Amino acid sequence: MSSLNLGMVYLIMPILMWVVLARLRSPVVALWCLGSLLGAGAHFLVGFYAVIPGWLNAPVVNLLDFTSLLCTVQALRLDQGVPWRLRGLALASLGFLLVAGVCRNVYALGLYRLAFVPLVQLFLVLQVVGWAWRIARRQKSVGALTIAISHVLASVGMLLVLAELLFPRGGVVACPRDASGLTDTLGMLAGLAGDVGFIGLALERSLHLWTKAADRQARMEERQVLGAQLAHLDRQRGFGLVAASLAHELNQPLTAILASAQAAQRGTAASRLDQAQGLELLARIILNTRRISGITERIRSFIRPSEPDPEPVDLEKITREMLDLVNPELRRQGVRVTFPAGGAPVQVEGDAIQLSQVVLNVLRNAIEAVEAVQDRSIQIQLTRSASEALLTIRDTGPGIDPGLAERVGMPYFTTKDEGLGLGLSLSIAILRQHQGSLVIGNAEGGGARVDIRLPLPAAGGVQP
Amino acid sequence: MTPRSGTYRAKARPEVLSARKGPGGQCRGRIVLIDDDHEILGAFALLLELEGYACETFSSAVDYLGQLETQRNRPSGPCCVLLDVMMPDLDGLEAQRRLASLDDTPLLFMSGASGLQEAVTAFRGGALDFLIKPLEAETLLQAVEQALTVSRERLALRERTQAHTQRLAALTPREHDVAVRVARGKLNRVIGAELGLALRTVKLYRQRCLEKLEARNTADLIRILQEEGL
Repeated sequence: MSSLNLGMVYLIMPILMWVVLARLRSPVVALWCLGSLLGAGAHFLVGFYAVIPGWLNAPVVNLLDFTSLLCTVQALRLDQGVPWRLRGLALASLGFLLVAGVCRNVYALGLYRLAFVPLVQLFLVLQVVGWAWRIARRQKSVGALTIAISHVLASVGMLLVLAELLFPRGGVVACPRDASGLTDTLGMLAGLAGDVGFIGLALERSLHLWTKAADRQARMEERQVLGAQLAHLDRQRGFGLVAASLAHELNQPLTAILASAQAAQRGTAASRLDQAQGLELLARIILNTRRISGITERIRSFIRPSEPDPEPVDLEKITREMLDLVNPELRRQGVRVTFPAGGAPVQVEGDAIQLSQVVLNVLRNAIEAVEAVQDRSIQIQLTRSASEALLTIRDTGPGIDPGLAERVGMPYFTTKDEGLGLGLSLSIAILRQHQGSLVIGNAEGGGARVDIRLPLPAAGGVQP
Repeated sequence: MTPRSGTYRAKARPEVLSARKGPGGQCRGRIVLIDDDHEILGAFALLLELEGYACETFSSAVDYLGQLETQRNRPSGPCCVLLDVMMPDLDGLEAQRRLASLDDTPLLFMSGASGLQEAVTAFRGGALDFLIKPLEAETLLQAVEQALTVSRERLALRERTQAHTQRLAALTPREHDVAVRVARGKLNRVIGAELGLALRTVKLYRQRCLEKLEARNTADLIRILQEEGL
């Protein structure tokens, strides 16, 4: 088979690949195709051996062969994320050209001077085998395995050339490339198989990426649904914890209503009730009934499952609402709460119910923390900077055990007997969805400190 | 609603005072209401006033204790305290401990969350009743009447004791010695020997003791001295 025919094969392959892999073109594909093209160039030049003077032809052929293999190795290395540096490659090529030139012209080196070029090529081919093998093993890629096997074949061809050179069977060796027709055949087969293997690798890779993207998409959707369900569950659970104190809160107005109604009943029956007193009793009944409907409305709006619904949220308002919700519990425990009223309202963009849930979770933790100590107080502070709102909730409880600090906020981590360990992790997840953050640590004076940060909408972006 | 304490209504509407008198024109008793919920204070005060009781309301036990400690002349007559267990400044049970050191006014508790432990603590501290909110007017009035009865008995006992103490103070040391020995059931002869007195003198002292203590007979004298712890 002539070098020109081989050159044609080597020329068609990369062009074919470039077309086949049109949708998957990447620097890796480009490098591989470039390598094949350079190889094709080398074969064409060998074909024109008789036309072009040897002193020009040989170095160029050698350089093309060398850079061709270099591109192939580089393509695989780039694929694995560890490419050689460009300057190193340039220096290596220059060095190779120099040494090859010296070897070619210094006859004193004997037969070994002809062995330099095949040795370097063998080294590069083995590099290709090594990297392809690594990809094949790590990613179970049949394409990469094909590349590895084909280049083992190529290296066998080179070994044949080397053997011919170093242990000549009959006299003078003119040119290593003509040493054996078998070498060329092996080289061509290796090249073809290698290219096919590379196409396979590229297709596998794209299929893998596509599967992964689909998988990620599915997982994200699933997580969103699950997250909403969990958030709802946590809200209902949180409600369960405050239910006992809510029962007390409902009892108060009910007691007042019952007493007022019975006072009116008894007073009227005994004709002791004057009109003013009657009206006052009725007014009390009405007022306390409204108190009850206010409480039930608060409960309803809190436990209702909700789709995340971004809207302007007044952080101070929702914090005070949540304080109202846990107020009976605070009174029962004798917890002092300080929350200085801020000046201008601090409005963030987000889901009011979810953010309320975060505040309630943190308050609940604080209330449970101060239960263990005598001095029970919770300090809340709401401040704003140019770009974000900061809600700080400090308590006088025992704080966070440094040994456990790392695990606090992880799903299912809890120090409470009846805890699910979801409160804080869920709060963190909710804040992350709002581009905010929750940091829990120990305050300077003892106790725990929670910093909730939320970005402020760009000025003028949101109507107050 | 702004926090306020002191009498809930008497100051604002003095004319209601007349309505507090019962059917006999007599006030049926004074009730101190302590709850941090103003609506409950208002409703209970009206209910009780319509039944002829005088009411004083406090939104915190601290306020009531403060008034007890500063007020020199407490109003006389039967009185009871109805207080909530769950209060922010000072909870009902702690208030009970502090009140016990000040006077013996009967206490009634009320609570929304029926904590068994709270009820037990309250009863051990001498509470007369533990009412669960919301409570029926009937239940409240019964409990209040019972507490006022106890208060009346305690007042009567205290009055009697005070009279006895005054009369005992009128005895001379010798008469006192004789009276104490009589109360222990000793015979005149034995008393005379112990105190170095003639039997006639002992009899004289004994007669004077009966007169001064306004005792009808020896048995009466023994009872009076026993009530005085002698």
